[in-house]
Parts: sequence; structure tokens; C-alpha cells
Amino acid sequence: MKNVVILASTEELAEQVAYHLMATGKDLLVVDVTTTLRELGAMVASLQPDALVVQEDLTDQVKTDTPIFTFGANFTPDQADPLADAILRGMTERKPEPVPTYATQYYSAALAFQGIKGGVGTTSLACGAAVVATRAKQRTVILDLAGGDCVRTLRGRRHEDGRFVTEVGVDIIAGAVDVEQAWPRLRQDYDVIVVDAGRVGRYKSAVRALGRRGVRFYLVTTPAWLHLVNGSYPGYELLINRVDRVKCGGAEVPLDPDLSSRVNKGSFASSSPFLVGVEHFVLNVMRGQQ
Amino acid sequence: MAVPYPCVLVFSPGKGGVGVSTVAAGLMHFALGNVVGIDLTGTCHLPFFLDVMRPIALGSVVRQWNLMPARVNEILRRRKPVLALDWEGRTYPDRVVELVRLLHARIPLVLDGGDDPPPGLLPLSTHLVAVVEPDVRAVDRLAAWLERQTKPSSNGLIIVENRMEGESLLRGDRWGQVVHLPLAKGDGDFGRLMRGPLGEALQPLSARLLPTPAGRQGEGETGRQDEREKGILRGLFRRLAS
Repeated sequence: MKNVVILASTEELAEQVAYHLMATGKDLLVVDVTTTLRELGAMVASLQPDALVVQEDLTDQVKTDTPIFTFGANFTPDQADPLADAILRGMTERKPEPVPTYATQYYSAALAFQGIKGGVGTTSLACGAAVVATRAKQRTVILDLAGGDCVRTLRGRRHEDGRFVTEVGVDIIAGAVDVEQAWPRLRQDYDVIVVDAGRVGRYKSAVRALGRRGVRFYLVTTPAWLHLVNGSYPGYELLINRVDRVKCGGAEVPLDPDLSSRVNKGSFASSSPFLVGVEHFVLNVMRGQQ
Repeated sequence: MAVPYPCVLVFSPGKGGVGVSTVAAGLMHFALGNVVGIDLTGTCHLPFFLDVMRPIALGSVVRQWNLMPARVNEILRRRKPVLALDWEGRTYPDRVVELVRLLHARIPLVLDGGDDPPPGLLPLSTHLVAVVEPDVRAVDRLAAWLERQTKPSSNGLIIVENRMEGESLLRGDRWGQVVHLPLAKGDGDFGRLMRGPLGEALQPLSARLLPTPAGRQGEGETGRQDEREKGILRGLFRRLAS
């Protein structure tokens, strides 16, 4: 049985395709339908379908490793049978672009990092997540609530509109942000929003506002400070930084003793065990496997 | 009134996790005389490092304004007592400053100010110890903090560059007194850290900031007071027994 998700420009068309695909009686299950890329991203992350069935003129906007099968805007019931056969044979009508990273599977993501204490790597993780998302061709912004360390880490230059721009392509908004007011614009302008929210207990109003918008919060700690996480942080997911031996699939990022020297040299974004670890972490987040 | 005892405020100008509590605990650990430690961060790392199982909650000391002098007397009877900021203490920031003032007149103090020290304590301190690490983010924040200081402080400012492994980022004259502490791995064991190179580097700093003037330091005073009290009690018991 192959699970598919359908993306069409209208709900009627999506449901029509779903109905006729199911009506073929073939070994195929339409697990969900959608009309927006944002929802599609979430569905891919959570449902992990075997294939996507996408309206032809929308395929260019879909970036994913999942095989894509297309149908025209003027879909007719007699096209359902060959489409179902194509899916079952695993024939891709459009090969996805080879994208080395995972963040492409999620089109509109927001995740926030808060440290259990200072110096556990919150800023580095936020910058790392933004760098890997940018490399995956996602328009990415960092909300640096903690007052500019992300700007220093990625060597940002102030743009005339107040943002900081970096050579790696990440935009940074540093300092106090009125989340309520800025959020709609951020969602519109960026695919991925990463928040460096400093240490737990700070920037409370911004954190609450982000939480109301469903932003996923990660509580950052290190093995040495694991004892500080005593179950009193509801709503957070745990992320352990500087782990000697990372377990596969866990929310853990490896120890990288040279990270600080790379920051000092201005080469934070160069390839490193840290960025590989962050990449795996973000992959797991996007796939909803945490 | 002349300030008789040192009050050392250890803090980081913005960046957390640079080892402020470790340095503060190290200064206390190597102090030869009696000294009071105050953890103003709310994290309780200072008592944790010093193996103080039950630090004195600041809230319990400052709760009743009129009883503060009596509570100070109780604190002074202890050997290297550690006070820690709790939620109640946070609600009385002015009383905490007043408590520091009271203690300052009677015993050397080490204040762990974390990365956001209460501004009211800066003028009270005889020594400011700003801790950074060789990371541009920490050094940039230190530079910004130094620029914000509108008037040159009469307090001695010492910059501690912690976790030094390679080259120092604090080059040039602009930084004033800089003490370099080596990168040390103690796997969270404070005692081991203090027995290693970090302890060796901290010991002279502690001796410099918390000297023991003969007959004045808290330990001697408290020790003698304890002995006096024990003697009085022994005398009482003897009298009762007879």
C-alpha cells in the first residue's frame, strides 16, 4: 500500500483527484489533501507519504525528496487509472532536484532555542540551524532576542532597513521585536524563522507570543548541566548540545571543541562536525521524528 | 567611614557560561580568612560548587527589614556561609543591596553577579572582576560594557580571561589588568578543578583580592567568637553540673 498526499490549487480539484484515485481500487491510500505549500510541508513531515500527487503548475514550488507525480488542472476521471499505475510502479514524472539537506522538506518552519543557562550553545545552535536551512535554499531569518550574538557569530552587516545581512544568506533581526506585529510579515518573507531566545526566563512576552503561534521551543542544555532540567519546563523539547557520542536520532548535537575558534576567525559556516550535527537535528525536527 | 573589608563582585558583561560562578567559588575556596559568598544569579551554582548543601535564602534574611542586623550576626557566626538569591529575595532588590552594605562593613564578600549584576552593587564593590573567555562575542560585550561606563570607576577592575588555550583576544593596553586562567576540564568536579592548573592560577588572585589582615579577618574573629561562646557554654554546664 502506497500512501500519497495531494496538492492542488483548489480543494474541489484535490478532492476530485483523491476520489478518483481511490476509486481505481488499486493499492493506494490518499492520506490527506491540501491547497497550500505550508500545509504540505507539515504533512510531509508528519505523515511521511510515499509520494506526492501535485497539480502540474505547482510542482516548481515544491522542494522535496519525496517522489512527485503530476496531474493537469483539467483532471478527468479517466486519467486516474494511469496515474495510479505510475505511482505504484514508482515512475516519477518529475525527478526532484538533488538537495543534500533535509530542511527542504518543510516549507515554512519556525523553531526557537532557549538555554537552560548561559554558555550552553544556544546562539551557536540558532545560527547553525539558520545556516543549514539557508543552504537548503530556504529563505531564513534569525530573531536574535538575546541582543546581537547571532550578528557577531555570522558577522552580520546592518542593512538600511534595520535588518542585518550575512554572507551566508541568513537575515538577522536583532534586539527587541514586537512579535505580534512582525509575525505576519516574517511568515510572508521567510520560509524558516529561527529564534535565539537567550536563557530560560528572559524575554517572556516575546516567548509567550511565539508560543501562541505554535513555534517549537527547544530547551538547550549540555551533559554537564543536564541536572538543571528537572521537569519544570513544560512546553519545551530538550536538546542536548556538546554530546561526546551522539545517539542516532536523538535530539543531540556533538561536541565541537573548535567551534569557538571558528567563530573568532569568522568561519562559523564552514563545514564542521557541529553543523553536521545541527543538520541531523533539524532533519529529525522537520521529519517529526523527535 | 572607611571601608574595612573587600567586596569582590564577579560578573560577566553579558555573555553567560564563561565561568563566573567557578571564578567566584574559586576565590572563596582559596580565601584564607572567613568570607561570605552571595549568589545573585538565582542559579545556586556558587553553593553547588562549594558543596554547600543548604545555602541561606536571601529572602529569609531580607524579609523583615528590622531583623536584618540580627540575621547578619547569625550569618557571621558561620564558616564561609553562602547566601543565594531566591524568588522572595528578587522582590526586594533594595534590601539585598542594603544587606550587602551591612555585611560589607563586617566581613569580606564575594558576590556572584552572573551576566546581569544588580547595578546597585557596582559602586559598593571594592573590586570588579569581569570574566570573559577567548570568544569574540564575549570580548565584544566586554568592550561595549567598558564603553558604557560613564565615569572611571574607583574600584579596581580586573578582567579575567577564562578558558585560555591559545592566543589571548585581549591584546593591547585598553583592557588594563588582565588575568589569564587556563582551560581546565574537571568533568563538573569543582574540587578537581581547584587542585589543577585552574586552581593554581586562581589562588594568587584570591590572595590578592581577599587578603587576611592580621586579627581582622572574619575567620579569626569568628573563630575566636566561637571559642568564646564554647567557653561560656562549657562554664555554664560546669556550673549547672556542680
